[in-house]
Amino acid sequence: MKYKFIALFLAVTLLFTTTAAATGSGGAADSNAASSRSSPYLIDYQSQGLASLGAYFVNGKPDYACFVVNNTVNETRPAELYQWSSASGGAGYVSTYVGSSGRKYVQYCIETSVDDFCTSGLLIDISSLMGSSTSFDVYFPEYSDTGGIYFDGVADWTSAGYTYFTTRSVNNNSWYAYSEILDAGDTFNSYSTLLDGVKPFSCDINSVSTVTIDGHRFIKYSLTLKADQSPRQVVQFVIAGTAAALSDSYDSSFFSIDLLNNIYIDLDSSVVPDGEGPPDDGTGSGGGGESGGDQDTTGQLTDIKDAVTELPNSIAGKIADAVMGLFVPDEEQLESIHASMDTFFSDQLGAVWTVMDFFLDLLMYALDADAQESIAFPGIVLDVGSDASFILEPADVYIWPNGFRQLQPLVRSGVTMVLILCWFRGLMRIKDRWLSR
Amino acid sequence: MIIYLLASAVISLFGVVLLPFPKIGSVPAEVEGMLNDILSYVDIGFDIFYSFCYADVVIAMVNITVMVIVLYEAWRVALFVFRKIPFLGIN
Repeated sequence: MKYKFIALFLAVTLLFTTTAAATGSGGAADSNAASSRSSPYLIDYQSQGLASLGAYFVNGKPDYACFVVNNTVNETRPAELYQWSSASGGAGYVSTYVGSSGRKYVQYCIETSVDDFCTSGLLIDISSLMGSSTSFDVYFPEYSDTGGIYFDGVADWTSAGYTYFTTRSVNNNSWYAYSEILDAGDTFNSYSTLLDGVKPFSCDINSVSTVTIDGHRFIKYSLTLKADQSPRQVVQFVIAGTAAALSDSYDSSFFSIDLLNNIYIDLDSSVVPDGEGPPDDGTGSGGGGESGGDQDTTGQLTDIKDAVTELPNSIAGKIADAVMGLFVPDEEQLESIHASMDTFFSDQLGAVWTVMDFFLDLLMYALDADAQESIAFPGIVLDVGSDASFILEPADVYIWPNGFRQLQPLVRSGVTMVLILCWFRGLMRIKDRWLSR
Repeated sequence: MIIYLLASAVISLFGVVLLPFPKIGSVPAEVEGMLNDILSYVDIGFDIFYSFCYADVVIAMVNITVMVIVLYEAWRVALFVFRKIPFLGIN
């Protein structure tokens, strides 16, 4: 019996040793990477060959951003701290140049009191990685309702102009251009309007999963960026979103990027390192040289099937567009009509035109408005003589607090249903009036 | 395009018809400012309102309603004109 326990102990030890050897390629750097991978906030930049790391905020509102450079993974006191803050929230830049300092780990965090959509982005210069395909993970708090991933090419860090290449939303939320949901198997493609010198690239979503780290749930996106930017161009990887929605989920840190996965050469093919491939989507039977061919054929057939399925919709859409274009004026024509009316009537009708214009503007606002996640509260000012002070500071007020966000679809559906019923009833009254004459 | 041309023609016609009439005085600048303030609040109100319903659906309903009302009024105008033509015999 005693020998059986010893044998079992040795077997378990051997199993763990084998597993550790299989997951890493050996060496001190890999053991550091393995240990640091437990925290998504840590970037082992040295193993990635990163000499510097930067975060650039574009017209953002983050109040505070920092890079913490640590010697060890769980160091509570930062060895070095690079930080940037802005009370009003303007553009800003913080970076580290620690490649030769012997430090091992970089943690970045962002704190903010107020934030706006699409205005804050963490830009990480991964240009040094752009000569080859890069695999990395991005973590978003599970209940973050906004957030996006896109790639950005700029002339340099301080360039004001930038182009959105790819945009996707993290969760099911329309957010400016972020109208598509990230899912496993998706591929980003760079837009056709590339900046000078920046070559097209793409990014695959290998897998999407939910992970729990330190008791907090995150959505983990495993990405593979395929880009051949040679000669090297400054291309930045951007993750963006709102801080307020995320701050409740995780203090101080709302974006995480894990660059610890392997970097591998993969420019022209779908070859991936062992164990790092995209998840099986269930269509392939796995293994063998014929599997790739089968998957290609399956993909082509799927494309053809999708195209045929969409054909009736596209034809109907073209006809509808043609009819609408024939009758319904577009925005420019509406503006032209409004300008003509203003020219003709404002002088002649005076106050009457002002009232008419008011109702026209009212209609325009009704048609142009869109759902907002937050409302800019202008604040309340106490104005005493030359001194003016805020009783309530201006702030972005969130209409749907996190606690009630789960109810949003239910409330929206209910209110919309009631509105449809009222609208239908109103239309019936118009019809009755029309037919009664 | 058709609605645009019709609207432009009607506006031009009204402009010519109104020319002989005396001009109506304009509202004071303060009132216009107040109306603009009201409009800005209404704009925020719509933003809030659309957060509690599906904006696309509501905007589509508003569009259809406006279109129906415009068609209804256009029909009335056409009928008014047609009634003036004796040989059509429309009462």
